Amino acid sequence: MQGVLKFREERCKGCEICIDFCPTQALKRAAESSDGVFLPVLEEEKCNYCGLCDLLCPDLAMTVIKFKKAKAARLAV
Amino acid sequence: MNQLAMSQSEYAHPLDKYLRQPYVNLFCPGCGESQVVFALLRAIDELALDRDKVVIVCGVGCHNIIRTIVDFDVASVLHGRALPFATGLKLTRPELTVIAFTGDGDGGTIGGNHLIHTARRDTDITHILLNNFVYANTGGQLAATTPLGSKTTTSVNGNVERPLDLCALVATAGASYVARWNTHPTKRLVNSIKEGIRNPGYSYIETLCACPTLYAKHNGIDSAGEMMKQLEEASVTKAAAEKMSKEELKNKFVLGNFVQRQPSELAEAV
Amino acid sequence: MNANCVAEPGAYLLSGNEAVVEGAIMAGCRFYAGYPITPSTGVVERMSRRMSDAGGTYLQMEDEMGSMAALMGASWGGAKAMTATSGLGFSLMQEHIGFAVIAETPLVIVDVMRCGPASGVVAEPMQGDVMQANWGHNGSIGVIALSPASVQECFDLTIESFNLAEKYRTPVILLSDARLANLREKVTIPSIDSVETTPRKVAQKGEKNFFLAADGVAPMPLLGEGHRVIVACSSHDEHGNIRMNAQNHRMLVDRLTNKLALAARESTKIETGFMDDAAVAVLSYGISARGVESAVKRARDEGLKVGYVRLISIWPFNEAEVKRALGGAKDVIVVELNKGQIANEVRRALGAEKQTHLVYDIGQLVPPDVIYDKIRQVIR
Repeated sequence: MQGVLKFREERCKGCEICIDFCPTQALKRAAESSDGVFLPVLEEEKCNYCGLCDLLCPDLAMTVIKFKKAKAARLAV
Repeated sequence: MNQLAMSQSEYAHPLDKYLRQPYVNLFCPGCGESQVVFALLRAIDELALDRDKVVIVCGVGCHNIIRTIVDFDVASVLHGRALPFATGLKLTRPELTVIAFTGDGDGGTIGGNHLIHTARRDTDITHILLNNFVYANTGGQLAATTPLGSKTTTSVNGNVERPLDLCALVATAGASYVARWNTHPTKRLVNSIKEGIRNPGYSYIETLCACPTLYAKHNGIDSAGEMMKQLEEASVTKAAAEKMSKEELKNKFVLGNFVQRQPSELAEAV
Repeated sequence: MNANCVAEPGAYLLSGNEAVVEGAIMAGCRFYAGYPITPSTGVVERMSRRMSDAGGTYLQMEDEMGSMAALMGASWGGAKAMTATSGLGFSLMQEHIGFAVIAETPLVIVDVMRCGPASGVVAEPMQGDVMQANWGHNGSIGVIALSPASVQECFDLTIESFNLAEKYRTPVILLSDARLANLREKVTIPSIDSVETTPRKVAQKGEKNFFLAADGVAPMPLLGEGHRVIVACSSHDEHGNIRMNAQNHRMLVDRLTNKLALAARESTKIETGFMDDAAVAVLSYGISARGVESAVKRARDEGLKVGYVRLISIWPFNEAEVKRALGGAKDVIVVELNKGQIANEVRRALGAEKQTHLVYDIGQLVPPDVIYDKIRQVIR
């Protein structure tokens, strides 16, 4: 595991900025709406935990933590 | 596709500690102004400022939603009057970090006179002005910063008035730190806010904000992300702008740090 | 000057404007932000020197709105703050007076009234802002307003204004005028030890009721003290949380007007003379009152049962106290420099009980002879 992405669904308004700006296209728009909002869905293997979604989210709905090499190594299967 | 990684609860957002509880964010989906609120919190966090000595002074407009989001002292004052309020507060309590947080209508139009004179006095206030090119809170009317040709509710055939370059205005008036940025990249904006706070004079930081609900809709822009991208495309750096003709600069935004110098002695005296 | 930078005790020959400044310094005012406007300029000029003596802040702002905003910021930072202006500038300040009212902010505003509307006559008196003072801000909740009738009172009532502002956490208007502004009279300045100044009651850390208290006035949660307070021009509940519903706003309006009613009950000042057996009362305030005493004394010397009532507190207009002061008089002659702004209040308070008459002039004082003639006319 290179890092962690925590998505706070209750904060998301479906603006899709994270989807539009994700450099690895790891975030995609959900196929079905959730209470009228199309949430982002993560393809974990594409995510490099760059944290751009965290920085750009207008609602603080994304927490991204990129592990340091040592921790990543420890967590690697 | 996998499910989103729902992590362990200890990965709460590092900025959560600065939020009023319960956290409710009244900004529209994708609002650039909301991005700036969190950029400000990041700057405060990175500078490790004493929270009890930070006061945010906001005016009237979408920007003042900050008052119900951040767990700081907030003075939510009359339309256009954030800067003189901040001035009175700062001169009475010089140990406080006073941050003025305004929109472009509030800070640059009705508040225009105060903008000029606060810059002239170079008082130690960090002014973050959120420019979304319209009077958003009242429904999207024309503003002094609306680009030529843009549509708003009071310029349905396209704006025929020239927009005002507020950076040039405050620089001329005497501000010791002047900059303009987009909300992306975030770190560039955060660093500029930190520089502005550290500057012991009047720091003016203008941020270009997407307004997905009003400006974007009236001008055929489909989403917040699309407006952010168009702002980026229309932005040029200060260095590049110096080599461009007036014609080439039409409807372009010049980004950069325009002024960064020691505050005038007046700033100390006043 | 002594260590406090207040004037040494003694007798001075001062103008009304100068006396206001000395009163402010004595009261502990250490922040002044203003914009020059005739005939208040004497205040601004003297204050710029005296504030520097006192180690306070003097700021000449770019306009009246900026001045009031700076006062709000200074007051919320903990300072006793003041400005001075005249009619037109006072109009520009109304929005912020409303802000001070809703956010419960101690402030003192000196209105050196001149002829209006608008530019009117620059240097002649008119008591034209009496109504504006109380009702001029949108929502018209009310303020405390005092009216000095002498240069001594310009000194004393400025101190009283600061005290009432602190006691009731509200803006206080001192209604001076173009005549008093430059009139020179003897002022006795007492020792600072004998002057009662009301300190600000500030909220302690952990207190949350910032805008309500059992006795009607909440301790003030100054900015920069860790209260995490929202000081807003918008409607709010007792903790300062923004509320945009009718029910809460009604409670806020009730709280604010109750507080003013409390101020009226506790702090109304009215001066009377010869009222015990008076059949006719001459009611006045401020500079208009100067002609009244000699007119009443002349009538008295001729055996006429006439007395005078001088309002020192103008707002809140205390109907009960005014009625009490007017005693058994059957006729009330109101003397003022406007077309009946206080006469109408008196008339409304008295109803059919007494007859109210108005003697007025605009731009000049009503001479004692004119008042005496009216007394004779009414008493017949």
